[in-house]
Amino acid sequence: MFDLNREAREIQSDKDIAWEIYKKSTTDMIGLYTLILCICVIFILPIWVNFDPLTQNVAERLLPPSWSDRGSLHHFLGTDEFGRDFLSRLLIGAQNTTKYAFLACFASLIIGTSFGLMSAMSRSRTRKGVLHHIFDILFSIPSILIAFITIGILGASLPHAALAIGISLLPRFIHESYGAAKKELEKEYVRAEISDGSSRLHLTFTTILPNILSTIISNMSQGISIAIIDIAAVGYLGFGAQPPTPELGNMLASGIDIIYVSTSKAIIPGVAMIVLIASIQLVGHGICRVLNTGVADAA
Amino acid sequence: MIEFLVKKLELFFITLFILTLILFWAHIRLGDVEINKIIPEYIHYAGNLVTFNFGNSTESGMPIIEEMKLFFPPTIELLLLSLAVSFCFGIFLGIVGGLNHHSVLDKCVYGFCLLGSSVPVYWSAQIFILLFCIYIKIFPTTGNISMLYDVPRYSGFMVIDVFIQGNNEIIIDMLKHLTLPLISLSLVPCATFARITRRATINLTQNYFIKAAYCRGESRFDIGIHHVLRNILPDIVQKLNIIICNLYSSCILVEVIFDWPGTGLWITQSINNSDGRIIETTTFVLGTSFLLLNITLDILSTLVINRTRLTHG
Repeated sequence: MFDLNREAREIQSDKDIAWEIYKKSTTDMIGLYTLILCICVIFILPIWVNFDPLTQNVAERLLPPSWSDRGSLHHFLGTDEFGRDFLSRLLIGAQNTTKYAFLACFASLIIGTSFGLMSAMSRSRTRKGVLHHIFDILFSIPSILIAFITIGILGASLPHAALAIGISLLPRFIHESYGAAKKELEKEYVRAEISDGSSRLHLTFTTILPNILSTIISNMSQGISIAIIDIAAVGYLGFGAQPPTPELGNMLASGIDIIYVSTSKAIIPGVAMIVLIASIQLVGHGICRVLNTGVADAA
Repeated sequence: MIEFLVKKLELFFITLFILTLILFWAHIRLGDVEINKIIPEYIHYAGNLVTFNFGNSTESGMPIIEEMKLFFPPTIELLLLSLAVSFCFGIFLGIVGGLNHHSVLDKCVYGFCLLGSSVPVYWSAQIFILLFCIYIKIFPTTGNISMLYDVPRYSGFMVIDVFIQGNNEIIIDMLKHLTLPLISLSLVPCATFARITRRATINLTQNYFIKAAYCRGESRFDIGIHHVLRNILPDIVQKLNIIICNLYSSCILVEVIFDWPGTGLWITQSINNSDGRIIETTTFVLGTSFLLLNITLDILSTLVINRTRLTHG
């Protein structure tokens, strides 16, 4: 029997099909909504928050959050040890951390993927080896140690921490894109395209890159979460953002100094970070699932 | 095989050379080097590094190699213990989750993996301090042994030294000091191990020999031990170097939080004192040891695992 619905389903666009597949998993949907909410709260809400995150008010030091007995709704999450409003500090701090983490991860992604693809596509053995192994030394040094060297050379600040974390993410992207492209090159349709006489550049952009997209995206979601954790870790040790600037890491570090007086200051920035990172990972997982649907050897 | 070994060693020496170059750049920025004599300076510097002639620390005036002997054992102790703990628990959780795919248990394991990879280690350490040192006062917060006890130094590893001395009270004190750093350090690699193992197990259980084992009536436990564990070990060994590398990163943070007298605390203090010498030498020693570890794992996996041996030819 002729089925109108089926006909209609077949002429759906790719976007609709992808959205249909994405919608199937509840956890991924929760992740997506949380991520959108997080980004709105972090990047748009500070426009309307009246408190300056740097203005100190000694009269209102260490106020607890508004839901506890002594708290006031005026400062929703209370104030820190200098009387600065904690909510606006948290928002601006999360904005700083996330901004630099995205920047570091994207720069590292673009450079790393192009290096990996170049090394996978090049015919000469030496060029392949050099491009593939040039950053191997970074792979064997822990990321915080790379940050220490960078900060030792350039001095402590948030952009330098982001630079260091970006450098430490490079070899990961290189290796993953190299491996994925190498696996792709052995497939038959790629060989058919090569024997059709397509140029290396054309082959890279039309066949290889779209097919390794799921690897790149899953790496990117992991890379961003690692970048957020590591930039905050460098900040936690006191080598990232310097004191008046709020940042999730140095807020946690000042939270542990006053943990005997006010416990909420040591907990809240971490919770914000966990929500952000978990939602990023869920969305990355979901996008990967969409791209891998129907692929036989999907990992 | 010999060709493979030579290739690996070649790579090792090239990366070592790049490492000394980077450190020399740091040395130029931190110390005073005459620009017109840069090549002899570099040869002198690299020669000193390679022969373990590190000079003295500017802060304490002690030879750096002597300080290293003090600070390295506690770090290695913490790293190895946490690796062992997370390896056992992570693989157990991963196999349990993978064998019961789509069940509630599996969802719990997946949730744990997700949570473990998104919880920063310094935050969980703070929460443990809050719970177990401030609300319930059962664990101490700082150091690896109480100041009151005098433990003679045999090997430098506190766990071994305490057991050689054999005083029950001191052993309990040491275990109390060890618990919180160990747990907070083990959470993240445990989740990573669980994630890798779960994924590998799910892929493996689609094979016919697992189904055949089920049909033979073998119990889940037997299948997990005899069939799954052996077949997923290659996947784990390949990721082991990245896990150890990340473990060291979090180890630095845990040492700073719990005042564990290891290399992490030492490096952070030396950065605060802007003691460039210590940063350079520690990076050199750690980088070299991680490089050696990578190569050992590579060779090990090539020797042990058939699949990679075939691809290397």
